[in-house]
Amino acid sequence: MRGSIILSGRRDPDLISLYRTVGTQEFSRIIKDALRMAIRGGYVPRTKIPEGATLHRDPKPVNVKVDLVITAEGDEDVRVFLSHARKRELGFLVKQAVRFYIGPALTMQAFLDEECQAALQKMAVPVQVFSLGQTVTVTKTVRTKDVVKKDTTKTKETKVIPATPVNTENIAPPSFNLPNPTFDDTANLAPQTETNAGGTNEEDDMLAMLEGLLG
Amino acid sequence: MINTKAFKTRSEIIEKKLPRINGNNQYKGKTIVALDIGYSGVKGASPNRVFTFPSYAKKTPKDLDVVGKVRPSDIQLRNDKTGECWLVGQAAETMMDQVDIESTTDASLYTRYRYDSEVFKVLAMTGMALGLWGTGSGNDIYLQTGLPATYKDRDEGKIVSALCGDYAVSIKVGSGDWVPFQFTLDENHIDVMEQPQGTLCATAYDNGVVSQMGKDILRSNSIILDIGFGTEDIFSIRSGYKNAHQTYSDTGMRAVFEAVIKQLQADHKNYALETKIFELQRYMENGEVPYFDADEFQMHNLPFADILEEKNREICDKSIRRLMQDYGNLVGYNYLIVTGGTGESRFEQIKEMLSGLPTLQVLPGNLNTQDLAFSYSNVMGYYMLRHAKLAAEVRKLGMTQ
Repeated sequence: MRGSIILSGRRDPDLISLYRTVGTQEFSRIIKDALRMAIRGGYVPRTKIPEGATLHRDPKPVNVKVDLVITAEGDEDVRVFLSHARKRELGFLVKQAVRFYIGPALTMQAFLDEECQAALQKMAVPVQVFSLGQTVTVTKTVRTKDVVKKDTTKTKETKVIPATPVNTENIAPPSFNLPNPTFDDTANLAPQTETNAGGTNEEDDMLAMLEGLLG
Repeated sequence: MINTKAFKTRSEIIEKKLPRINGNNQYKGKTIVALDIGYSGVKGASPNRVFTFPSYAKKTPKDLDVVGKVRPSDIQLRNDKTGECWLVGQAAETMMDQVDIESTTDASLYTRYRYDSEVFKVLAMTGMALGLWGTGSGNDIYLQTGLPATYKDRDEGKIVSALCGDYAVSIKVGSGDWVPFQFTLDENHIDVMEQPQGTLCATAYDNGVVSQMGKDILRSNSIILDIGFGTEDIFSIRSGYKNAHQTYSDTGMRAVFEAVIKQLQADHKNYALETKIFELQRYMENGEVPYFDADEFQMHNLPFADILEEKNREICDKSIRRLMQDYGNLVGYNYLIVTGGTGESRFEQIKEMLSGLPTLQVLPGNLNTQDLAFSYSNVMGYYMLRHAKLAAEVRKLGMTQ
């Protein structure tokens, strides 16, 4: 699949800023990773999103055309996924996938002044992975006929789009209307960031001690 | 006179943020659900809440007619694969009719050979659904649970095979809507530990961070005394090494209930009282056992609050004397951590009994979560240990990237 998407100078300053920061080649890789992440549960991306980068906006909004080349054999599911995009909305789909991948902090930065960007970088916590799970399944059935001198391999493709996964994120949690205890929010937030930002020796020591005790 | 309501298994959902493993653009998020499926109640902890409900479920007709106000603690569960509907927890206990009482035996509810029973699976499904409510849909799901210390080696495989697999259930809490859940619980994502070890881990971590007190407890001579409804579990550490573990089934709250029923039968010999242990839970609300005298055509209410207090005291005394005998009068031990729902009701008595040992500090199981009851201590520890293990894995992965 070969095509292109237009990044609008007025509507997509976040993506244009990222494009200018990482360069053409890396941006193409980010697009591919974003699409793979969206449809493959557990996919580990190859690109690294710049952390703590300050995005600079072009003083004059200019549109940027980015090539979309998805030709690798292993990306058949991505091609099938994109073939389901609504007419003339492929670009929006790709751009949304990239935004989900890079996360809200980086997306919002491009719309803020540099002072506020610096504050946001300090506040930003790792985003939760957005993934539709195994949305697209591509099954290949290879049939080979026993005919001498002639290669008659046929490939049949079956596209399966399963039911939408259940997302309970926006459903109000249950409550028994009983008095809830109060707790310190800052204390609760601390381990969340700590988990992904690297732990301490103290934690490893404690875990080793507990594992030794628990057998 | 004691308030018998305090002895009744709770039914509550408390919104509480626990440490979690978030995903980022490199790793997938991990959702931890910790479940302690006890003989009297199911306790659970998940990233957004802790909860408990009585271990009782009753199959209902598909469309349950609700007359009047639905209580916020009513839980309904629907198995979307089979279409079966169940009332779970307190609602099921209240719905218990004479047929249920006659067809249910104490043995079917309170023996450990229950992992293949339908009720056990329904309780687990309800716990999982309550835990996963509102968590990220793309995350891997990890379940941490526990078993009494002595049964762990024998029953671990049974509990894992009963809990793993594909789940397709819907849950309804109070007058809310049905919320569907579809997920797969991988066999390798289920971990089982000894129940009292849960409290040990809960004291080691204060909301995901290593606590100083926890370090002291692990490095000293300590005993965890976990008294639940069915069993009393003891786990001891000497200078950072696992020393011994024991499980007794004659000193839990079940034994107290049994003694209460026997005493009631002895006090009212002219009544043919046939109250079962699980029935007594229903009567905790009023502290009286109703008895219908068919000869006199008269209803009698038999109060049991005083008997309950006395029997609980007696059995606690027996339990502590045995503990002292088994562990050299507790000389040389620095900490005794009392945990479990029944442990909470006996905490003051234990403290008083052991006040003559100046070197021993009697601590509550909810040391790091004082806003929660003792009965949550094990499940909080299950959660904290799994969190610490997964966080260590993520750290290791981050280093190798």
